[in-house]
Formats: sequence, structure tokens, C-alpha cells
Amino acid sequence: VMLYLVVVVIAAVRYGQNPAVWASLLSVLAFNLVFVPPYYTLTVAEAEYLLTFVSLLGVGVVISTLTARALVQEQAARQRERQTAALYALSRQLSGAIDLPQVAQIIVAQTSLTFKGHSALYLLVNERLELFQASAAFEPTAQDEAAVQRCFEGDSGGNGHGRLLQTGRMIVGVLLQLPVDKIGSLTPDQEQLLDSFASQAALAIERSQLAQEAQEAQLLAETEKLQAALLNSISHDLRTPLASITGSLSSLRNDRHLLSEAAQQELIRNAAQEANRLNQLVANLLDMTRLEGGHMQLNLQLVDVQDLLGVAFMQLDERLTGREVEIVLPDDLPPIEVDFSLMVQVFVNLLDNAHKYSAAERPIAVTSHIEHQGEVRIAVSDYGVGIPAAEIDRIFEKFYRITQWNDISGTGLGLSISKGIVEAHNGRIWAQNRPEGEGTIVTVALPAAAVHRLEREEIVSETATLERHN
Amino acid sequence: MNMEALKIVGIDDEWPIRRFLQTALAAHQHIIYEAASGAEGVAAVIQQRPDVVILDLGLPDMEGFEVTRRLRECTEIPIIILSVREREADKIAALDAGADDYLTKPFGVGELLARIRAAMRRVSPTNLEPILESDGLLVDMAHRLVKVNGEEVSLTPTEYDLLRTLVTHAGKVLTHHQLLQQVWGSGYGDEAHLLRVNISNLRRKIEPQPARPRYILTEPGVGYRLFVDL
Repeated sequence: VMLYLVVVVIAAVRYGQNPAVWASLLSVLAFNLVFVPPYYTLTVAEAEYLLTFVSLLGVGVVISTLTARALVQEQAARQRERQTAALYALSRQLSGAIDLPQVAQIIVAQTSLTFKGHSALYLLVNERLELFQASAAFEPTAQDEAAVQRCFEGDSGGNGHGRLLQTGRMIVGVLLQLPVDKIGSLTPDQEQLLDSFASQAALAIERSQLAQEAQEAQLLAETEKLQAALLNSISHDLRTPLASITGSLSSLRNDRHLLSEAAQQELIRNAAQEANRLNQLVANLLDMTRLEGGHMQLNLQLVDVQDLLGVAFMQLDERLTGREVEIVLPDDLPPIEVDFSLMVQVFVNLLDNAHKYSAAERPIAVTSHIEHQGEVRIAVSDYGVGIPAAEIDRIFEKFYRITQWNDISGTGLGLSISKGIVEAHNGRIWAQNRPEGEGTIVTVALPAAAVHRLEREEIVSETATLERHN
Repeated sequence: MNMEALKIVGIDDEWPIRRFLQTALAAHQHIIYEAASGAEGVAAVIQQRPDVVILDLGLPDMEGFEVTRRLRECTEIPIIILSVREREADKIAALDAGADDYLTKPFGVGELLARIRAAMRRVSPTNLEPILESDGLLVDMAHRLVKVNGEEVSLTPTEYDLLRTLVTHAGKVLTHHQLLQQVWGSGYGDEAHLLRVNISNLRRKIEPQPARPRYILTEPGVGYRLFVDL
């Protein structure tokens, strides 16, 4: 009897319910045949044996049914577990992704993996569905696309592999899932899982889009804030010299007869000086606008550093009268390939700063040397107030002014424009305080023109030829 | 150097500038005829036969160098152009088309008069002396002698030619192209490095502070000018 039960259970576990039932029936018959008198017949001699057989059969059927059911339940449980795991995997991966391409990639990859087929993600762009991401080597056919369109339009019939991606707010797109062989459909469980995938996907996509919008809004707000600050600053800096000029001129106009000759001269001198300042400011603003707008077209030519500095000094001439200026340039300094006027601007700015931030008795020095690899370095140094260590890099920012020196006039644009110009030439500019004490050194590093070495040889021979002819 | 009263035609489409020219130059006894466009300007020059023309490059009807060209077709009188910063190409085009000098707006009346004087020097032959003396620099073209603050300076033939060219046009700008052509000859018009190196060498020899030149001034992007106290 025990053997019989074992056989039935094994049959139930391994082969399922029906075979198990057959097995129990067969076992009973076998039992009847073999173990019950009369032996080897199917007839039964006594009624109690019949009862035993029937009950054994019954038990067999029950066992097989229960076992089979247990198995099915276990399978179902495992299936659910797999589905939950798949959903969890999708969810976890999506939570880590913010930007849309990444999200789409995850959705498609996970869908393909979980449902063992191809998938494609269609997103709503400008009110039209567009294919955004598809699994590897999968190209949706026109039929597939038609199915997607139908799904989008709310027609739930037809190919049930498309899922509308919809959140509380809006419709985001459609997720298409197709088995590899294009036929076969999903089990109800799988359908449910696909639904869950769809809602996860929709949420993730919405989140990604919202994050993008938030970022853009923030950027816009910051740009506007900066523009407002810019306008304020420019407005102030333009109006101040204008106020001086208007004031001086109006005084001369109305009260000429009340003013001494000296006073009149003073007003005129003041107006002229402020006009110059305004001119410089306008030039700075124009440069900055061009730098910002990317319209900085460099008119490159080979230029001698000495020539460059000469012009810069000339532009500053009045301001530097009485100031000792030391210029040390090596004789063999190679030319640099730069836009002349723009580079002059840079040095006018640097020299002007050196002048503004140091006392009139202290000298200003300009030195230059060749650094390794043909880089030409030009340094402007002063013995002035120096720059607080914390601010030494920030001085190159637009409109940045060192807070403690607020009473010294200036717009805060000079250095940022200089930096823009230098960097447009593939150069570098930086500031450091003098190691021995007070004062600042600002260095400009520019790549030396590649041609110069050849040139020097050419010139030497040409000049020699010409002189022979003369 | 005092100039006699000149007849000047001023061509500028901006009324405030014309106003300024009129007032500032009239104070020096000059007579100004105004024109507001290229066409008007050319007509005024033909009609009035002035001594100097002041031409703004930002005219509405014609490019500056075009006006210059047309004027040069019928006259050799000095033309001084008015331009703005950063428009080097326009200035060079006008200078190469025959304009004599330029001024960058905003400019002062002193600069303007200096330019006019320099331009007029070319015109009156009696002023072309073989010796130039200015602010410590002495150039004696009759004897090929150059002295700075009394001390004689030795120049190579090329350097001397370069200096001589600048002296002949003292006070006026010469474009890179013009200098190369006059010193090295036609065909050398693009050899900018020749010019650059020779200017650099020249400066080292005659300038007390080569990095802050007093005599040979650079006109950024355009050319060079010999500064003289006119």
C-alpha cells in the first residue's frame, strides 16, 4: 500500500494531475491483479477489498489533485515572484535615471529582457508620435506603427502588445512590445505585468521631462537675474560720467560770468576727462558684447611685443605721467600672432589696473620672457595694494570688484574682457601676489608664432642681399 | 607752424559732427563747405576746389574708399578720413585708394589740426626741406645723416630708407603696404615681417625708450607714422 501511495505522489509531482489519477487507477488495478485473491484477475472476491480499492483510488485522486494544485500554486507564486522582480528591476533602474535618453534606454532594455522580445518606445513630440528608442536591431514595420497609432487613439482592440503611456497629467507616448517571432501573445499575468511596466515607464518619462523643464526654468531665471544686474551696472557706469559732463557744461553755460577763468578751465578739463572715461567704457562694453555673442573675429597678424606695448602705453599716456615704468624685454623675443587692437586692449586694461591700484610713486614693471615650448609670457606688475588670496581667481569674473576697494573707479569689466580676448587667442591669463610682499603680478601667456624661426633666417639673408645691392 | 586760411570741404552725414568741424575750424580762420553724402561731397569738391577734404567713412550712399577713388580721379588734394575704432579694413582701403590720413572718432580739434598740417606739408614744396628736426631727432637727407639728441646713429641702408620714407611723409600715416612698396619695391607688398623687424631695429637705434616710442608711432592694424612737432 505504501509503495502505491509513493508511486501516486511521484506521478502527481512529476507529471501533473491527470497522469497521477491514471497512475492511481492503474496501481489499484495492479494491486487488484497481484495482491488480492483471486490473484491475477480483475475481479474481486470480497466486498471489503472493493472498499479498500475505492478508498485507495479516492486517496490517490485527492493526493494527486492536491499535489498538482500545490505545484501549480508554487509555479504561479514563482511566476509572480519573477514578475515582481522584473518590475522591481525596472523601477530601481528608472529611479536612478533622470535624462530622457537614459530613461528610454532602460525602459526598452528592461521590456525586451522581461518579455523576451523586441520593444519600442514612442513618445509624443509636438502632438505626433515619434519613435524614440527601440531595442537592438529592431525596426518596427508599418503594421507595427499602425498598431501603435491605434493604441494611441484609444482603440484597445487589435494587437494587444501596445500600451498607452499615460500619467495623471497627460499622455506621454506608447510602449510597443513584440515577441521575437512576431506571433504568440501574452498570458494574462504578462499582460498585467506589461501594464505595470507601462505605468512605471510613463511616470519615469514624465519625471524626466519635468526635471528638464525645471532646469530650463532655473537657467532662465538666473540669466534674467544676471541681465538685470548687468543692465543696472552698465546704466550706472554710463550715467556717472555723463552726469559729470552735463553738470560741467551746464555750469559753463549758465554761470560763465560767475566763474573765474581757473574754475572754467577746471570744469572743462573735468568734462574732457569724463568723456574719455565714457569712451573707454563704451569700448569695453562693445568688446564684451562681441565676446559674449561669439562675434569676436580675430584679425591675426604677427606682432612684436614691443610694438604692442608701445601702443598700449600711448593710449594710457596721460594717466601714466610721472609714473616710473620699467620695461624689460629680451632681444630675441619672438613675435606673437594676435589681433593687434584687441591685444592692446588687454595691456591697456592691465596697465590701467596697475596704475589705479598702486600709489603714484611706486613703479610699474612690464617684463617678458620665453617659457618652454615657445610660449611667450608677458607680466605686468605693480607695487600696490595686492589682491586678497580668496579673490585672486574671481577678479576675472564679469563685473567683479574687490569689495574693499570700492572707492576706486572702474567697471569690473576690464579683466574679464582681457581674459576673454586672451583665451580667444588660445592663451592664458592669471594673477598672483608678489611673493616678497605687496603688489600684484598679472601674467599673459601666448603661444609663440610657429613661423618666426624660419622668418628670422629669411630676414637676415634678405637684408644682407639688399644691403649688397645698395 | 601757422597755416593760412584754408578752404575745406567736410563730408559727413551727421549734423553734430559737421557743426563741430564748422565751429572748430572757423576759429582758425578756415572756411568750411559742408556736404552730407558722398555724391554731394564730390560735387562740392569739384565746384569749390578746396585745399583739404575731410571725409567720413560712414556715409549712407557710398563706401568711403569709393568716394576717395572718385575724388582722386579729378584731384590730388589731401583727403583726411574720419572713422571709428575697429574698422581697420575700411581705413586701409581708403588710404590705399589715395586718402592721406585718418582720424578715429571721437577725436579732438588738436589732432584734427595736426593731421591737416601734416597733409598740407606734402602739398607745398617749399616746406619739403632736406632736414627734419623734431624733439631731439635730426634727419639730414642731403647728407644721409641721422642724429638723436646730438649723437650720430648708424643705420643699415634699409633702415635709413625706411626712416627717410617716414620723414618725407612726416606726420602722416603710411600703411604697411605703402611702406613696403616704397622701401622694398613692388612685389614686396605682403612681406609684413620685413617691415616689422626693420621698424623694431630702427626703434632700438633711435628711440630713447624703444618700448615707448616717441618718433615712430604704430597705427594699430594700419601702419606707421613719424611723429613731428608741427
